Amino acid sequence: MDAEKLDALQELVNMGMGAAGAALAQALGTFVELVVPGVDFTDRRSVASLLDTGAWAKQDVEAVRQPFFGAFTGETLMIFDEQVHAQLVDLPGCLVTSGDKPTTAEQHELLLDLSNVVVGACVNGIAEPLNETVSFGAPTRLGDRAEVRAYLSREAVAWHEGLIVNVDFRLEARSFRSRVLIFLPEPSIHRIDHAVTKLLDGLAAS
Amino acid sequence: MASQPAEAQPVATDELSSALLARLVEQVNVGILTVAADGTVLQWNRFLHAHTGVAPQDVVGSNLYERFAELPRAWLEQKLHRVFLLKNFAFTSWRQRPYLFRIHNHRPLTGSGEPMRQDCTFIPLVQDGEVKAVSIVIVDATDTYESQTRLNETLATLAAQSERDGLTGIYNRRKLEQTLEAEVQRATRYRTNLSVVMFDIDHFKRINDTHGHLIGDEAIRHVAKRALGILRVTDFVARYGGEEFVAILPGEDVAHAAIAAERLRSGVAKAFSATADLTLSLTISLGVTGLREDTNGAKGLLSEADQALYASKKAGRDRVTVFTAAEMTS
Repeated sequence: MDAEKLDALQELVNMGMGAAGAALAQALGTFVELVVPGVDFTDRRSVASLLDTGAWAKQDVEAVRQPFFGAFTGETLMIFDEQVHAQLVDLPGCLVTSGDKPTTAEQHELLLDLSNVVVGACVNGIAEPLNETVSFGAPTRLGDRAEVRAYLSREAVAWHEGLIVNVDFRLEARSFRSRVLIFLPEPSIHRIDHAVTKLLDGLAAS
Repeated sequence: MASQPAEAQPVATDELSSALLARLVEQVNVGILTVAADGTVLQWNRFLHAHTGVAPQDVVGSNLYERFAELPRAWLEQKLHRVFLLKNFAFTSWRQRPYLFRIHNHRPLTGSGEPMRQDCTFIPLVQDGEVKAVSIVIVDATDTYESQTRLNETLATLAAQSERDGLTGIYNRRKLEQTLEAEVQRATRYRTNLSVVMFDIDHFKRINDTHGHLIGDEAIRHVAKRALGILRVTDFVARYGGEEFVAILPGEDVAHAAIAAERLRSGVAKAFSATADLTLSLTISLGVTGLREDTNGAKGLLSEADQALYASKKAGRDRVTVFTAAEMTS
């Protein structure tokens, strides 16, 4: 995949996030901002180094992973800073079912729900413009920084290199920080490459 | 000539007729129900029929929330609404929400009788860019739940065992050291009293040599049991090693600790049945000390109590000695 296609993909992802943001705002009942700081090649281990940089290094994190499959197969990791729990409670689009104060299970459910919705919008935001569809596996909590690191440093995986799409997620009037990392391992890069080529050819022909 | 392996003939989609696909949905061992945007149930498979006792003809065409009033309606409506809106999957896990439908787990023989734990996947059925309906796939996660529960129980037992003494069941030295460290910090912070009593069985070697190690073990158990009965519930007692024990008395000054130590001494000294036909008498020697400003932490307390205990031994055993800096450290 060359630089030109990577640029095209970045452009495509930016557009996709526009649509995803609009849908999310409707679902969550509040203004949503999705910013794509970059699409790049990376390896699994350097994903962990994100946690050591900038604002992420200063506080504890919550992380949710979720696999997706279909036209592209890969996995997402959504990380939140520790303020997220306190700031999700009164989100219009997030219901707490029991008492006033959410239980730990309810906090986790809120986080998994939010993560699933955001991740779904982001991944579909890439797949849809390419006329592809994907299915999703269930999201699971990884817990804190040390656990994320432990998972990312496992040796026994088939591939290490892949394409990573970073999406920063922000909610209006809430200060918690969160980022979606969409990891597409090698086999999926060819599918993306092919789809982008098709799209570019189509644009050139029209 | 070797024949070419026959090319697998792809089954034409037509051949896998919709009737066969419907049979799959009907017979698969997961629950599948499909609902329209207004909550009308469109599909209800055999798994759900069997486990809820509600037949398809009694639910298909009805409103899901009206038919199952016990469902968490507001939450479920929001969940479904999002799937329709975002055309995206949604999930629930038994870890956060044990079940969607309260149904018995389907193991009448080996099950625990608890409701079936369920993992649910909400799948948008999209046609021409529109979500026509949403299918909810319900997977029985009771096995995972049960192994997780057993794992948690095992971990709790292990954690408890790692701080207990195998012979007596009272706390072990490791737990004693942790606890004393914490109590010293607490007493220092809140300026409260803290005392320590160290004691051991007099002439323990003689008991072992005369009656054997099994009776020696009985003697150790006896002392631990008596000590537990005599001390307050807020006190802490551990087997420090061999025939030696340590009690921590939070909130007590040395004078009161000495009284408690005397109660221990006289209480343990009563005869007990080591076996059905052996009654044994034994005595203990004790050393007492209390936390002062110049105490050298938890280690210092143990060392002082040990010195006081040594003084009791030297003075003839079966007695309580209170640590005094002037006499003992010189």
